[in-house]
Order: sequence, then structure tokens, then C-alpha cells
Amino acid sequence: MRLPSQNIKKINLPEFQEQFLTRTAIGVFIVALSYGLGIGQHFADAATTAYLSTAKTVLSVLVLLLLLPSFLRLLWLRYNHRAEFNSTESYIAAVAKNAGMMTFSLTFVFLIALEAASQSYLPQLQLDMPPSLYLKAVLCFSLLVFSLTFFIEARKANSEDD
Amino acid sequence: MSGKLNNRIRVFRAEHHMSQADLAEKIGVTRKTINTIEGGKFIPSTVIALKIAQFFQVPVEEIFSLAAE
Repeated sequence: MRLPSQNIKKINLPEFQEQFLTRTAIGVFIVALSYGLGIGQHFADAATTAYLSTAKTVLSVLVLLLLLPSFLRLLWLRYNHRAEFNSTESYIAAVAKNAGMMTFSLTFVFLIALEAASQSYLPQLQLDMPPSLYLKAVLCFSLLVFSLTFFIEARKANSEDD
Repeated sequence: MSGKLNNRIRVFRAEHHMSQADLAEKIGVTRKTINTIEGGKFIPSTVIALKIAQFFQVPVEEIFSLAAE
């Protein structure tokens, strides 16, 4: 019978870190969708709102199932392989860093545009949107930018070995 | 010289009969990282460049060079 520690020793740390980053990006995309549904709930009728609420719950469970096991494993590996974790670097880590920078820049632009809109045409539309909805929109936008930038950049790596 | 970084990793791999995954494992990175360095999509850090050179037992300039304009 194989002990858990024997399985852990066989793990390729850089590959695990890349998998974790990819899972995180997928999780971020799902959370963005969840915020999008939250915005939709404000404008939908009661029946649709109930469906959207169920969908949000399902997405939340999905994120937990996707990330929690990997996150716990990451903590365990970090604790036991601290030196290797600090020295590993990879293409996917660089992609995540670039996605973070892109997210900061575009979110900043989005906030400026939203601020300008809030002083000009948004009040005329009389949408009666609570401040939390604007925050959800910003969060949804920024999480979408992060995940989509990550996926587009990560696709540049050839999946085939030669 | 331009800022483009040329590399001869593919050549050295072929000489040593290694796949991208083999080389990645030897120097402690992922296959995707080797793949993107080879393809010029990812500029490696000095540490990775030196590890690759050290593995093939050649000076780093034999593997990496700046492209002439």
C-alpha cells in the first residue's frame, strides 16, 4: 500500500504550480460569471431571479470543488518544499503576472469611464441601481479581464511536445 | 543588434536525444516553459538560461544570442 507521503514526493512542483494557476484562472472566470448573474438578478423578474440565485449557488460550489483540494495541497507542499517553491518560475506564472497587470490597467480605465458616465448619461437613464451593483459590475469586469487574458496568453504555449 | 533573443535549445535537445519534457524535468521547470522559450514566446530569466547552459555543459552564449538586425 502506498503512503500519502510517497505520492507527494512524486509530484512535479513546477507542473503542480502551473495546474494550480490554471485552476485559479478558471475559478476566477466562474466567480466573474457569478457576479454577472448577480447583476442580472437586479433587472430580472422574480421567477428568473430564483433561477439565477440557484445558478449562483451551483457556481459557488463548483469554485469550491475546483480550488479547495488544490489549495490545501498547495499549502502542504509550500510548507514541505519551501526552497523549491521560492525558486521555481514558469511561463504560466509570467502569464498570470501579465494578466494581473492588464487587469489593473483596464479596471482603472473602466472605473474612470464609469465615473464619467455616472456624471453624465447614467442618471438620465433612471436605472435606480444601488451602489453595490456598480461594485459588482467592476468586480465582474476585472475578474473577466484577468481570466480571459490568462486563457488567451496561456494558449500561446504549444500543447504538443516534440 | 535587436532585442530579439535567439536560442538553440532545440538543436542541443536533438543532440542529446531529449524531449522538451525531459529537459524540463532536468532543470526543474515545466514543459510549457521550455516550449515557449524555444519558440521565442517567453524570455527566460537569467537563472533558467544558466541552468539550461549548465545542463548542456556549454557557455550560455552558445545557446542564447541576440538576433542581428
